[in-house]
Amino acid sequence: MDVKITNQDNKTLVVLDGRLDTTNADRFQQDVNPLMQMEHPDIDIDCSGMSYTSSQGLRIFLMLQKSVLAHGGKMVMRNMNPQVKEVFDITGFSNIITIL
Amino acid sequence: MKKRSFSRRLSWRIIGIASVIIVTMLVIVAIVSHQLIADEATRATQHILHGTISDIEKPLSEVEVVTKTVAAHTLSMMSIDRNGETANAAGVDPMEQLVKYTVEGDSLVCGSYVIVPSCIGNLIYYGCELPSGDIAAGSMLDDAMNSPADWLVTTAKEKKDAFWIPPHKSLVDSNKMVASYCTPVYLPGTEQLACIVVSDLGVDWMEQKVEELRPYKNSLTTISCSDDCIVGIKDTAIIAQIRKSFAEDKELAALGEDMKLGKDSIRRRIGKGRTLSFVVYGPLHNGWMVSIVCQYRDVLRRSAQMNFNLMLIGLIGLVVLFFVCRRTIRRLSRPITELSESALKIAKGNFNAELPEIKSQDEMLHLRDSFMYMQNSIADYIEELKVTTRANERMESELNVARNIQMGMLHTDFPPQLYALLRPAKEVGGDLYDFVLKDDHLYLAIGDVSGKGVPASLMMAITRASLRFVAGLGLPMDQTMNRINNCVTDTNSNNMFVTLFSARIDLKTGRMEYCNAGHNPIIIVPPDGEPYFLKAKANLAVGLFSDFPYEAESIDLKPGTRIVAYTDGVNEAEKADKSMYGNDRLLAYVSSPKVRASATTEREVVEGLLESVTAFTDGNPQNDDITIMSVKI
Repeated sequence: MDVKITNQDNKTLVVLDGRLDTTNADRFQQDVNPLMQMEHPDIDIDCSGMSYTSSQGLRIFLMLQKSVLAHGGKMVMRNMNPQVKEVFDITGFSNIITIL
Repeated sequence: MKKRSFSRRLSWRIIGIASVIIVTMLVIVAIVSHQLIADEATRATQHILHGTISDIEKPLSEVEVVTKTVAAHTLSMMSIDRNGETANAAGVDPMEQLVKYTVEGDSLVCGSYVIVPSCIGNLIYYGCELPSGDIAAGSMLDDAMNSPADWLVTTAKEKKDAFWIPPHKSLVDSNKMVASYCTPVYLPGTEQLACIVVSDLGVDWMEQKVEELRPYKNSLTTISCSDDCIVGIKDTAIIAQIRKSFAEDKELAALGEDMKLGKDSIRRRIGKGRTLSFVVYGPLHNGWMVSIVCQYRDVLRRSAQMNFNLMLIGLIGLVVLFFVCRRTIRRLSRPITELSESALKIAKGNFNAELPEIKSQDEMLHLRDSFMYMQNSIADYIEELKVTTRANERMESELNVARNIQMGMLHTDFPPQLYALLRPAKEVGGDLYDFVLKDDHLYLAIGDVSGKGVPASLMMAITRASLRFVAGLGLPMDQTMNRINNCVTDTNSNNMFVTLFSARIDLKTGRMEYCNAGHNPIIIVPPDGEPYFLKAKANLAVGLFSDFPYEAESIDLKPGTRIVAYTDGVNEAEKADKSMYGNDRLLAYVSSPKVRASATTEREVVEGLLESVTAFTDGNPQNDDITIMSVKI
């Protein structure tokens, strides 16, 4: 799982590539931890390269979403592939995370 | 294989190297010393030769002078004689007197002769020492052909100048060897031979001199006067043999040639093997050649002795060196042997094995210190390992207890129309299932906590407790789910969540009321149609937001319909190549004729699916909890 985080004009662009599973969920959490400290974040997550997410991955997206709301910012996820989108739909996460 | 000790091997190696060095040194010393000694010997011998030559030449020159003086007198006497004064007052012939005085006056001259050739024969005036010591003098006429006098006259005519006759037997004493100097006297102004003056010189002293002149044991000094006469060698057979060798051997022939030419020189290598010799030679003024032959065997005898002694010392030294080396190396390497013994003891588990005492401040001490450090480290490490192992064992036994407790939370007293199983990926897991059969109503639930292991298992316990409590209230499904969500959310500070499918089936009417909180869609297998995934509203997973408005739905099921519920450990089971079991295989399994056969029990369905998944993953470790539930109404 490759995570690229770039900051541009007060916007944070996160590009994900690969499988987000049990083996790398902890590392992914460390990667996104700084984003949870930001004030009024504007996070844009590009999921076009993400082929799978486990329930631990979902949990991290959820934590990120909660933190964004708490810090008065916004977060969107885009370009999800159908299988990943299905997981978000089934678990009801599509209800609380903006997926474009 | 023969075992050879380190000390012996090292000693042999040192001995080998030392031997090479000693032998090389000996060879160099031998070669250089031989060369030096040989050079010195030839130089010394040359010096002796030159001394000898001048010693021999002195008497020869004296005899030559005496003879020439006599010759000068004879000519004047002969002219008087012609004038008729043939005798002096005493009546003695002056020529006889002259020869007698010559012998008497000169100690070297042992015979003096004047030979006057004439038409009637050779008139000989003689004065000579007899063996008795008396001197005989007189004159005689010798008319014999080929007599010594005749030969002399012929030779003098040929040579025209004075010459030496090589040593020969004295005419008056056959035991005495003499050399003769002959001076022909010519009538003044003519080439007519007037007389020949001959002086005999005894050569005993010469023989004695060459006999005594032995610079080395087997050296030989000779004076070659002619082909037949070599002073210093008495045996004529030997002389003949020498002549033969000189004629046959190229080297000797060249040497003879040089000697004849009267070159003063040296030959460093003559002969072969043990008789290898050097020759120094130089001519006397009359052409005789003095030579000294020395055998290298004699010359180098002392140097050979010295080399032998050196070799002996070297050999003894090597033997001593070997034993000293072996002893020293054995003593120095003893700590290694002892350390290896200690290592064996340590290897057998005695970590307190004593290490050898080392007094020297060298690598051995360093080795021992390192060894001791290693010993201590291993002991510490083993101790640490014991503690860790104990802790792990305790943890494991606790986990086993936890597993038993968790498994105890799940119903296993299945009614005939229902079967379920849960297989955690670790000791404890986050999956759960539950069912309650009450008054023709069957409550079902299946859930999956995010993550796995101990944290998930605790969440599972909370969820399972809430489920049992809320189900007992008999509320509609949406409210049931709402209550459960609130219970779990209250106690969830860690953002974990539970996907949960819950349903209540009226066994009389076949109506199923259900609510799906983020769980995988269950499979409905109608008795007369194709199986399908039950679509449900996307409610949020349980445990995230309090008071989330869960929505329930309902569906009418025909009798004989089978419901198969599962967690994502089934459809997301992975092979080594990361390919997943997937929904298609799941559907294919439940629609297979074997599974759909009316005799197939729910237990067979559940266990068959687990087998199918296990066969698919083909030994790849299970990475998520697996829960399967099958119900037939």
